[in-house]
Amino acid sequence: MSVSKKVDFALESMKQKSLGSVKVLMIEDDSMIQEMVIIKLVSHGCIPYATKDGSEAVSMAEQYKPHIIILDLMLPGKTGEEVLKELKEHTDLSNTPIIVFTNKSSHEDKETLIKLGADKYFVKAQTDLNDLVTTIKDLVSK
Amino acid sequence: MNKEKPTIESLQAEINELNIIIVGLENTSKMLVRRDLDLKKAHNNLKSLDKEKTDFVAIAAHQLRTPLTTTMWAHKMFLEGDTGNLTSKQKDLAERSFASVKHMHALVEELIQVDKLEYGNTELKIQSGNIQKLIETILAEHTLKIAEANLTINKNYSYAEPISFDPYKLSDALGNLINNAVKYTPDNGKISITIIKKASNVYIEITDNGIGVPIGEESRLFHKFSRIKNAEQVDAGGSGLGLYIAKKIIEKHKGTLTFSHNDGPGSTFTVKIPC
Ligand SMILES: Nc1ncnc2c1ncn2[C@@H]1O[C@H](COP(=O)(O)OP(=O)(O)O)[C@@H](O)[C@H]1O
Ligand SMILES: [Mg+2]
Repeated sequence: MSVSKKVDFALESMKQKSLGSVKVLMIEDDSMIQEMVIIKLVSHGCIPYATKDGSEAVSMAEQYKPHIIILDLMLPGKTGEEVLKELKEHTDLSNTPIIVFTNKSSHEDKETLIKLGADKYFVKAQTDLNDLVTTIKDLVSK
Repeated sequence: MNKEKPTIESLQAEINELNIIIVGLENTSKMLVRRDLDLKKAHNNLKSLDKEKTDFVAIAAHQLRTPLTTTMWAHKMFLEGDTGNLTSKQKDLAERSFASVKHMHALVEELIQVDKLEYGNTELKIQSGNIQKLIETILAEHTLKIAEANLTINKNYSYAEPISFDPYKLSDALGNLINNAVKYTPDNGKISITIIKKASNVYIEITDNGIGVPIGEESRLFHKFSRIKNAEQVDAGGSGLGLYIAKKIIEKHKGTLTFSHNDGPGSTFTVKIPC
């Protein structure tokens, strides 16, 4: 199969998975990463919110009530791990699915974050954004 | 012959001679100590030069990681129409630059992996697990490529007991071997995977009837960045790090990774792990 055929195939399968009006809050300090992911999510119908500052994460989540939170780990303000703990202790937000999105690729990091309540753990450099979209779709339909 | 009785003078002369020898020996020994220090210094210098060089590569790789990731995403989004439809010329260009950025990205990921294996926290996280399951997971990741190339996979799993290994690392190692077998075997080829136990070792054999390795090139296979000509024609973008990484990981498990020619065409890579 040529690349373009593979792409057509991927496109076809994506079309069946529109993410119409799913609100996603992305906490990510690298602007390039943030923009790319948001372009991808918007092209699948998501409504994006974003901040680069860990210490703004919880208040933004309170304000916008996202269906999904995408959380980087190394952040200014507060680390992703701290944000995750706060979210999980929050009365209104503890059920919001959280996708950790980081370049920390050690399996210890992954295990720690999953234990703390993260629903999914993606290593950015090893992520196909289509998998991110599929995961969001799975998590919101739960 | 009458032995002369030693005189005080002759004894004195002998003592003097011995003293001279002692001084000579002392000097030699001092010189040796100095030489040893010099050698140690030179060795340390070389070591830190090597470390600097490796650090340089690792830092460069880390710096390149994010921009290459986002460039790759952007290309994929072009190709998948996330940013609108492309003309066929645009699509053609995007496909080609996507392929090269993907190669660059893979190389950077492997460089980071090598750096971690050589200098990072390299302790294995040993668990009890099933090799057969690990291999099935890896094969599942190659389903598309195997189907596209119409490869036949023969499985001879004669040992299915759990053994101790680091599932993440060993999966990287076996993944590299299986990836090579798939990559270097032409369409309609055959790959056999065997798991057997002999004495207190488990052997995992990955055999393909692909392009094989020319006689005389065997010893280069496991060197860093080493690639062999016939492979370059199959995959121009390989890094030559896959086997090096696999061998490092397997040796950390106190095992071995070896290559052998087949009777017919193709290659066999054998992993031996104590259990
Ligand atoms: N199954 C195989 N059949 C033939 N040649 C192989 C096979 N596996 C590895 N090689 C040779 O060993 C070289 C090094 O392999 P590897 O370290 O995985 O690097 P890469 O696959 O990126 O070239 C390859 O370039 C190829 O020449
Ligand atoms: Mg390889």
